[in-house]
Amino acid sequence: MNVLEVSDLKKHFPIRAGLLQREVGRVRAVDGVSFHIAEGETLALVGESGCGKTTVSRCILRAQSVTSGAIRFRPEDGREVDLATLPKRELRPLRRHLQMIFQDPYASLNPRMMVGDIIAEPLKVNGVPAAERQARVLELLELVQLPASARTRFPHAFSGGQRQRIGIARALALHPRLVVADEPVSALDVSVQAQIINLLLDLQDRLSLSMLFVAHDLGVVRHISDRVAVMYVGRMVEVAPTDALYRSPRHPYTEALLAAVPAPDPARRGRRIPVTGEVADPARPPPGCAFHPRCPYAVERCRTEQPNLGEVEPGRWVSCHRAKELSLAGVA
Amino acid sequence: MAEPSALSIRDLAVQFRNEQGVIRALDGVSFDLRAGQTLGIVGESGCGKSVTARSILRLIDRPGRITGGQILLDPAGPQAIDLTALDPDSRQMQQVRGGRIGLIFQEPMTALSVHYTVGNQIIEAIRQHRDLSKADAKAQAIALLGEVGIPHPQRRIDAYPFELSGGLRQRVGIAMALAGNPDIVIADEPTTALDVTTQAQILGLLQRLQREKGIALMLITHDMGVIAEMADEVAVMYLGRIVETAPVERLFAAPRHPYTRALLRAVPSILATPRQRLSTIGGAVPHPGLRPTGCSFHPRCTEMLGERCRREIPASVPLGVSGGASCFLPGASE
Ligand SMILES: Nc1ncnc2c1ncn2[C@@H]1O[C@H](COP(=O)(O)OP(=O)(O)OP(=O)(O)O)[C@@H](O)[C@H]1O
Ligand SMILES: Nc1ncnc2c1ncn2[C@@H]1O[C@H](COP(=O)(O)OP(=O)(O)O)[C@@H](O)[C@H]1O
Ligand code: SF4
Ligand SMILES: [Mg+2]
Ligand SMILES: [Mg+2]
Repeated sequence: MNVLEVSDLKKHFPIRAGLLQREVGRVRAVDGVSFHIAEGETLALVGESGCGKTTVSRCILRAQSVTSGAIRFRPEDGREVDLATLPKRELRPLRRHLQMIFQDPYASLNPRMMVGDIIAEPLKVNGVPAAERQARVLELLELVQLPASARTRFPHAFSGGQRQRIGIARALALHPRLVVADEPVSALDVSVQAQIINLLLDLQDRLSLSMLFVAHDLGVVRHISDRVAVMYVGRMVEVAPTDALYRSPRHPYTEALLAAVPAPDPARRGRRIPVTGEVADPARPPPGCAFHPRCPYAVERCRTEQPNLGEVEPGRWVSCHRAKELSLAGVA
Repeated sequence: MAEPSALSIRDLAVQFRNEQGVIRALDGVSFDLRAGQTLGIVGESGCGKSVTARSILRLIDRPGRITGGQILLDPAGPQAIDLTALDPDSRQMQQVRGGRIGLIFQEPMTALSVHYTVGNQIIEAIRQHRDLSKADAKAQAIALLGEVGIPHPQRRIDAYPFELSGGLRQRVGIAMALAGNPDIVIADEPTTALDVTTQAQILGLLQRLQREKGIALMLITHDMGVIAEMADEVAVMYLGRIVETAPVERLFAAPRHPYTRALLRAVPSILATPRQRLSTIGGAVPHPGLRPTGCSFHPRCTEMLGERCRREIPASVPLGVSGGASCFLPGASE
């Protein structure tokens, strides 16, 4: 059963100029993206910065409007809504099913509220009675492995990792159907990051959490996600089960991303040939396959004809003209 | 054969003083940066990596102060200079800064002004250290931009920094650091703000420039992958001290300090099995104002020996290429 089904999602930002602020172009930040998240599943969204990852997650949370496409969400069994077209008024009661974990544990907590109140806030807003709130806060603190005494302290008394735990507790307060986490561990030190990754793995097991995990660290992603969606200039280029994607990528961009990660092993030094060039500008994406100017395998067709995402084997989707013939290098 | 030391740090201590008290940001740091080699400095946030870099360039501002130790430039030569003895604003220190020691920042905009073109700023930096006409300096600047891999340097020289992507900006940052032709370069997390793909390009560039120019590179990072890729020798920092130094192969094959071991195990890996848990280090780095007694890692250490670790401070790591750890465990220090 899918919690979320996104089809052909587009989000274009108009570029305005001149006295009349006329539209002179469009940033195609998200330009026809489709994927789903099954119940209890974590899907990672990866790609270089500017590829559109944050825009996708903001569309799902309706932190911004959607240009076109559908975002079908199942808040409860037997009920389905299209977040892309739902009026704001009907969105409000859905918020509790759709929660967010932020990147910056410093900016996302109100410094003037006690931790207990921060975690209880969503409960209060949704009319949970005070006595029940108390009990739930204690339960949540235990869940994220913070002491009960944390309740009466203010955020500044906590380290970055502890604040991230508080943010996670708040996100989980109402048993959300889907959690959207945009770079939730990238601001943390390695030792703290390891603790939070383990916590998220525990929560996945205990709560059968469904999660969209936006990240750029491919190491973190391999630990946490069941499947991975790779984005490039507003489009999906590959969607695959995690292990398969790392072992045998089917899109040249996925191969390039994996090759760029420095392995923590000096014996493997110098084996990588980094991909050249930079991410294309989504206001002026190259014709054909947007990756072709950087792709070592590009042929004439790639320069003129845009490839579509197609299923190359069960559960594996790739958008590349040469997907069937190329044999690309993965990382064991 | 070990290369001679280009820069020797000895017992460096830096303190910040504020209402709450004294923060010992660096508490007896010693290491050698060898000519033409890359020394990787690794450690978690707040352990003193940037303070080390800024102290060497005498860029520590109030309330910070160097309270002890030496920073010796050309320590083996007849004209060794102790940078701690110089006035930070002196002509000599200004010549060292940029002329002998270049600095690359995490965020290249730290080194660049938004008001001037890239070209103006590099030309200015070149002329600060070399007696060249404007036209010659401009030719140099264009050559330098080409060298750091900026396409169409003749055109890009007129660009403003904000018109460039993050990767190109960091290339300009590197060009700025090289403008005075330094033989030592300190790079403080030069790729932390970049994508892995751009990081790979920038690291490759640093490697090439270092080889071509024989630069001694001090590369600060918190990424063990970057260390493995780049360093000849490594210094691991914790709470204002160096807890281990080692040639890079040995650091990864046989780390001697429990903190190094724990850090290496905590790094997420692109080779992980599905849903693989990481081993963690309990707790977090304490605030340096609340430094634990004895070995400052003892409250988080799983291999602690008891009272001794709580009370006594282990000896600093030995100097010399083979390195060692600052730890009481048997075999750690040789
Ligand atoms: N201006 C300052 N005033 C007070 N304390 C300072 C100041 N600058 C640095 N410190 C303290 O010195 C210690 C070392 O800081 P430093 O910036 O060198 O850490 P770092 O290792 O570079 O960390 P990061 O990985 O976060 O860059 C920290 O505890 C920091 O709080
Ligand atoms: N509000 C906005 N107005 C105009 N362009 C935007 C806006 N938000 C994002 N973009 C552009 O959309 C593209 C995708 O951005 P983003 O989703 O933040 O990427 P990512 O999260 O993958 O780094 C970028 O080119 C970005 O500059
Ligand atoms: S379609 Fe062509 S250019 Fe695009 S990834 Fe495939 S081979 Fe490369
Ligand atoms: Mg983003
Ligand atoms: Mg720093």
